[in-house]
Amino acid sequence: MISLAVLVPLFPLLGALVAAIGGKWLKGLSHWPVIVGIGAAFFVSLLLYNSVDRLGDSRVVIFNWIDAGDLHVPFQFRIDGLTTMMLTMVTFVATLVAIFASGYMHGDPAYPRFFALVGLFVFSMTGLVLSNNYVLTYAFWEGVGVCSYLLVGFWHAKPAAAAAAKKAFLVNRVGDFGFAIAIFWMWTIFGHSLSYDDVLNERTLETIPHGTRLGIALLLFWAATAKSAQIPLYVWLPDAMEGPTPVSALIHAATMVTAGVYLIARSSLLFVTVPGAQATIAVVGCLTALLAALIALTQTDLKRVMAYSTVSQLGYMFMALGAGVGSVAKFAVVAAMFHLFTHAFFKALLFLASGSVMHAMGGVIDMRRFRGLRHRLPYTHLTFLCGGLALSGIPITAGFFSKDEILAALNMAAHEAPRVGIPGWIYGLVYWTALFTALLTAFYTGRAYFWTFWGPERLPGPDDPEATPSETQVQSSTVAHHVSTELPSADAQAAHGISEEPVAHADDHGHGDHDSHFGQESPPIMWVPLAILAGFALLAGLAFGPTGIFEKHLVRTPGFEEMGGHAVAHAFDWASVLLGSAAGVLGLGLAYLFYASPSPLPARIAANLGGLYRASLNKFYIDEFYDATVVRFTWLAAAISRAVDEYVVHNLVLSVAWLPRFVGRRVLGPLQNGLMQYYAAATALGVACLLLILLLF
Amino acid sequence: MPMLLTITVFLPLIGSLILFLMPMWSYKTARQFALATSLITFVLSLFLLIGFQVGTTRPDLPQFSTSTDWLTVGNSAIKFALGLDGISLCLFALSTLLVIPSIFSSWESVKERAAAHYGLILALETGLLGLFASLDVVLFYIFFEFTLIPLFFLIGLYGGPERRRAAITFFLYTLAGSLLTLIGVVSLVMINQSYSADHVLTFSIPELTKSLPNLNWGDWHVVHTWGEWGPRHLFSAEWWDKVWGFWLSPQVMIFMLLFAGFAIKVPLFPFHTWLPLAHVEAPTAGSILLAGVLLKVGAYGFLRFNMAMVPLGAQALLPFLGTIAVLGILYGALTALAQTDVKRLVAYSSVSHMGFIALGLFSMTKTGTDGAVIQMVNHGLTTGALFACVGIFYERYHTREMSELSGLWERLPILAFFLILASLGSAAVPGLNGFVGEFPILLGMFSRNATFGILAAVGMVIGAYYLLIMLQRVIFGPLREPGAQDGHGHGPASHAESIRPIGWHEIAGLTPLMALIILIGIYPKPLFDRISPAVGIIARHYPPEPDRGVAVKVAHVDPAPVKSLANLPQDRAR
Repeated sequence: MISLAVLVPLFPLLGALVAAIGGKWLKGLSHWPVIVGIGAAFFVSLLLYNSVDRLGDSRVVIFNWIDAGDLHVPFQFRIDGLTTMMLTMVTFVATLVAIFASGYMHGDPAYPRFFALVGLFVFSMTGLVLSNNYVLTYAFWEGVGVCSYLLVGFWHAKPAAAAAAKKAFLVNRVGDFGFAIAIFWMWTIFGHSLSYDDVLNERTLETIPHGTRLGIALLLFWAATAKSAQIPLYVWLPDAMEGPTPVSALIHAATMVTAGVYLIARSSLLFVTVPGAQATIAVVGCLTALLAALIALTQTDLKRVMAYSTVSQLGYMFMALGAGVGSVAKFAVVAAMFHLFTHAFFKALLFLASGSVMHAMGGVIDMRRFRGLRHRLPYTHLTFLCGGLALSGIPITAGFFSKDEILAALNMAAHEAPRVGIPGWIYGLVYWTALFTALLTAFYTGRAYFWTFWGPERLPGPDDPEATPSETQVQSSTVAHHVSTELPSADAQAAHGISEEPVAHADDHGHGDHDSHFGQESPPIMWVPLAILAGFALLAGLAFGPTGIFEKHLVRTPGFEEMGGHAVAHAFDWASVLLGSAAGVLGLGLAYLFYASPSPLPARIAANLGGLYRASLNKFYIDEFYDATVVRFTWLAAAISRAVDEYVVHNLVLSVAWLPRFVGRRVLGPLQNGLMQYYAAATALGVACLLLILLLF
Repeated sequence: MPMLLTITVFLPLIGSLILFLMPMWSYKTARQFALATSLITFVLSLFLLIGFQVGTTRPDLPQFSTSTDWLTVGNSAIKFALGLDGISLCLFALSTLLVIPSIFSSWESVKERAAAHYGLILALETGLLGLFASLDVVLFYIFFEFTLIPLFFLIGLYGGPERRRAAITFFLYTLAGSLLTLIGVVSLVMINQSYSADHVLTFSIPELTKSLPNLNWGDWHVVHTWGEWGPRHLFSAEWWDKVWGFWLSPQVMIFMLLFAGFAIKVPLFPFHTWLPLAHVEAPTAGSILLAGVLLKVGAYGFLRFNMAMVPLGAQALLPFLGTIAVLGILYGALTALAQTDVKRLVAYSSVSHMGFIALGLFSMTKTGTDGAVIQMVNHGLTTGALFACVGIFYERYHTREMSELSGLWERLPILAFFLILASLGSAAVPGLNGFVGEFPILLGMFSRNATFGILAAVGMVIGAYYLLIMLQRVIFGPLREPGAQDGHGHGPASHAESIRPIGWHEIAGLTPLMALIILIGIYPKPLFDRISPAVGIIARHYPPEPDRGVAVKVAHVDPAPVKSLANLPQDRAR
């Protein structure tokens, strides 16, 4: 049963290989091996999930990967509550996204490459959550980063995509630097072992000095801030939206970006021993949630709104993790993972629905250019609504239950914190900020929803003031051409042009017309996955939360049951529930007032709040700040190095080479002047010197 | 079996002589002949690879060894002795492999004086193979210097516009260093004779490796510690005595002599300036072999001589060596970042990556050394592949300036695949080969000296930066080719006919490298199985890791006796 675990990453990998190698022949059918592979992996994950409930956790070694000196890294998988929960979620969402993508990416010249990379990503992601030691986790951690790099840069001819891909990889490398140092440190103090069983062990941990534990914890958190897009390393995620929308849904919303949350949750036995690190995590998560929500308020690109919303929601997860002080530890981890779980459904849904809008709008995603689409896109509208309700935390939706648990955890942490030496007001402040952020969340969600689907209908045209100049030409000719989806510039498309004729392709999912789907609802192959996700966004919270199914499964992770000493009975926190729901309803209500029909209110408020509005619109100038400091500094250092190399080091070497010639020509050469008397004088001088020496010694 | 090694080493030389004697051969005949020779050599080296026994009880004994007296010196003899241990086996196989892509990269680009060109490549191959297989210091040194000659002519005759200056700089610079190394080698032999128990004169590398670190060098053994430093010390005669005593300690002095030649060869910062020049001017084949194998000669020398024979000197110089390696990593990476010529960029990336290899060797841990040796192979593969890729588009566009090229993915998709894979491998992405080398290296150095480990790890970030920038500019973005009428649109379409698509020979040259980049990344065990025991022989004399209050004692402690600075009487008078 347990050795089945190998199959979970193996199936998507095989699918990816078939799609990559056979893509030339499969062409438009390339999605099949990958969808089948991921679907099979989902099935196996369910079996594993079940086996953990029945048999408990286990390990399996596949082979020995690295044996260099004292570094021994087995390719070892572990199956426990946390792993199987992640596996099931990842493969489930990935299957739906892959099905959606087979419609969305239809006709793209690089269709096989897309699915090969998606399969490779699912392989890496499942490997990441399965691995049983830090090095293997690190390996897959960078592996998902590489897949993300290649998928964000999928439309390679698009300069913005290339830049975003590079940025994503580099920012993540900065985080990985911290991860690597943490691993080195652990290796030296944990007796050259890096397996979770040896490191995350209460008996071992208590022999380690507090400062060391704190240092390792903060380094791991540093790594998590990059992968899970928290302050200060969140800047790559919004840019990553340059990739195809299914990629944004799968990688940059539901799965990869939660890897940081997973890492901290996995290491929570270490983190609960250092309350200082926990408080840091809570505060950073809180600030990120607030900042991202504020930016999301004013963005006009629908996908960017969702991207900042993801950053903000990840902030919630970190707040929950950070609440794990003292006896709240177990409850906090469960709350964080539960939000991760529900968020995966409703955020993937919102992204895919945005993609569906984009698909119908001929690649336009700027909300200023369309309105009132609810009649044209009925399925997209309804599913987006479900996702929006869940994101806003409206009662009985999935987001409601998970957000409530986070608020409850923070509330409990405020009472518990003083017992472990952390001032309680820190958590109090985080709690209220989280509530305020919930209000903002509901508002920007409502804004995106009402703006897109309500009000008088309007479709993007080439004459929009926001349209890019090159687009004006494309729009008229190939407005609904599949290939042109998300390739707004003529350059990009021309550069793309492998073949102008549409890929010959037997259509198997009932949308045969290549010519025009502009302004039309997406085909079933796209909206059926949306509908399934919408069901989960509405009901997953109710089904898994209050019933205790989720928690019971999650604590089948070694160490989780006893974490934080004595267990606290989780009293239903009525105050948080009411406040949280009120924030959600209020936010949506305000958004209805402002955006359900064209209204002068938003513009007036924006004008009144001039500075703040502009700051939010320009993302608080964080990117500019980094460009002016870190990037500028690196390039300056590079320029200095180059100058030193060309002028200093090089000339030093040349002068060493020049020395013998100088001595020969200028010093020794002139001595050989051919004058007899000069030589005689020199001889006499030499004899005198010799005599002097003989006399003296 | 012993004959097999000798044949493998000298077969390319025979091929090369035939090519030199046949200048009238057309480039087609010459290239086919050269390819056949290199393929046979490669197959022979595969036999060696397969025939090499793993897990023997005596990893210190070289396999396939052969030995004949060559020059009689007193009552001893300089021997013609060849043999392979785990370390040299890997580099030996790497050399025979890399010759193939370098021949393929010249396939279409070298048409004039082609026979001599291929002859030089094959002669260089013999030099490299002989060097790695030598078991005698004199033989080693002869091959060491011999490699200079064919490469000098490769650069000087077939290189770019500045080829003469580059060839002369390369030749003189490396020669100057290696003469100092010669003094170091000779003194090692003499010391061994004077102080070993039976006073034998031996030139055998395995014997010297065995005897020298255990030797009582008498008073020569003293290694002074540097002592603390402060401005007031400048006026203290006692402190100056210590400093002089330190640098004049025999192990330190001999280490520095050996270091001189190898550091230039590697090249370590600040002895690297010949490298970018040589690379930019060298033909692609020369660059592949220069970066792929020739740079490893320096690192190999460090391991064989510096670390194996004077470990106390290495230990005493650790702060100095670590600083140089870390500076080289960061400086090389930053300078690479500032380049606009792709070939210069890759050349500086070699400076940075060779810094990593040196760091692993200087970490004086088995983990770091194992990593460094496998990284020698890895760097040969990735950098060889990168230079071959650069050669592919240089041959077509006659420019390597990143500002003039863009979006080549469009025109040459296979090149894009190769270049991305090689770059990711070079950036040490896990699952590809660079990671299994760099990670143990950094780990080893971190456990020896955390500061050096952390600073070097910064190099991993910058390392990814310049490679990704190169990819972004050359591979990504809208297609822009020099010579096209306008930057985009219909221009390239008319230009397309003149740009040759990737040929079979280019694919054939790069595919084995790509396969190994992936294979070593996923399953490095076969290499580690061969490297580790051989490294273990050398690592016996390394000091133990600093104690950090280890929580769980699960690691096995090497039972071999360890000599370290701490065990030595510090104040023993000269």
